[in-house]
Amino acid sequence: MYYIPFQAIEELVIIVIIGVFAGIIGALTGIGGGGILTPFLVLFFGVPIPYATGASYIATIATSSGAASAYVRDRITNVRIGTGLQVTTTAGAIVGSLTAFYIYSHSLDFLIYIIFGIILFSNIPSMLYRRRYELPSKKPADFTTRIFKLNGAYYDPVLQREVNYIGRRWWLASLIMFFAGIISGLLGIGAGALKVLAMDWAMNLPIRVSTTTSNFMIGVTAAAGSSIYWLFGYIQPFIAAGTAIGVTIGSYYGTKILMKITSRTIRNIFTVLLVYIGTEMVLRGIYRLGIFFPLYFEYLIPLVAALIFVFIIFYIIK
Amino acid sequence: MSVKDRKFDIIISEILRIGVILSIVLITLGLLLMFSKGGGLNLPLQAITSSNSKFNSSLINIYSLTGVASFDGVSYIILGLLVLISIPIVRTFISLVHYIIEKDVVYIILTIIVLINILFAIFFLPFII
Repeated sequence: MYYIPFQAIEELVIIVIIGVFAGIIGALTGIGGGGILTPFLVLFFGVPIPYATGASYIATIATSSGAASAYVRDRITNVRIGTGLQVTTTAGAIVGSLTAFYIYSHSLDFLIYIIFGIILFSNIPSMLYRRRYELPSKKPADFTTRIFKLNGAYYDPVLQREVNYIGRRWWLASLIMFFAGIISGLLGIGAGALKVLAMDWAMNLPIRVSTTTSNFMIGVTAAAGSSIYWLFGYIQPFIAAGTAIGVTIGSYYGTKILMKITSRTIRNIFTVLLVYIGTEMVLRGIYRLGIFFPLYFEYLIPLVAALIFVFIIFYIIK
Repeated sequence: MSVKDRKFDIIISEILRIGVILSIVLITLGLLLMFSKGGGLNLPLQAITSSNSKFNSSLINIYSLTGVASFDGVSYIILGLLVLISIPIVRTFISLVHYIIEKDVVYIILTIIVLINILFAIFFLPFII
């Protein structure tokens, strides 16, 4: 006698829907989307944290490959810059994995979370300041611009013209990428937000190029961690399957949306995410320090903070 | 941006697109097979779909893929996930080929370092940490 497994189908549908949302955000902002996915899986489905981590890992790869196809074809992603910066990100991820045991056995992980959160917060003012420019202000090229060929061009769908840009300070971006890699290796999170900041703030690339190139890069960082996630049993096939399908659909729509919105809107969405992830990281750091609070606070407080911030940027400091 | 750059952008874009579609088709097919057969890899559906399921990737190895021949849903899901994970690595190899053809020494070196890092992280790292 065969019965229809309604419960499993319902769960699958909901995972796919959340995945679609995570995929859209990931494709627009260049972050992995795990930060959005994990709270839902943990709080609403009681998915154990390792499986939720595995799901956000799958989401990162799916959002990267799903969106990159369109972005690379339209030349918005700068493949050369993305590949070059992978050197320090992947090296950082290895260093992070190797030092993880030391960090955890000395209970220093709280510090990493808090530092990461503070770095994200500290970038909010400059993000807000640069909202007023559709494209970054022209800055002089330096020696890395020539050596690493950091120039590029793309057709901006909103400005409706070809935009030429140059990148600079490759060394500084590489240093930030190294740190982003360490965080990925240590904490098992994508640190896509830091990658965007490295290209936007350090290299002065257009925000559209920074978010899509970060999106392109996070897939490789994640792929480097694949055997660790796999062997440690983080990947639950059913949850991973639903996530992969949802996120891929979402990232496809995300690429369509990115072509229609202004750089200002991209910055707004990204800055709100900085508030959300920054708060989440600081809270997690405090929790690891031994100050305990109910688990849902870790997701609820960032959500409230993000909503208040949305109100502030739209009504107070337009 | 040279004509070759443009050509390779299109090649990378197509590889990504085909890879993602292939992976999603395999995963969807796997889910349909798993639901219609009421499970997979000798496990009942409930044991696979419950959120606290003990069934995870640590129990999955190369032999889990043998179910592909007998239309085992879980095997198809695993194959789809493996395809998805391998896409970024394949893509990096294509970039290497691009830079070799262009004789772009700086980026040949950078891409080789990236590939060494990735392969080190995949094949050695889990066993030394």
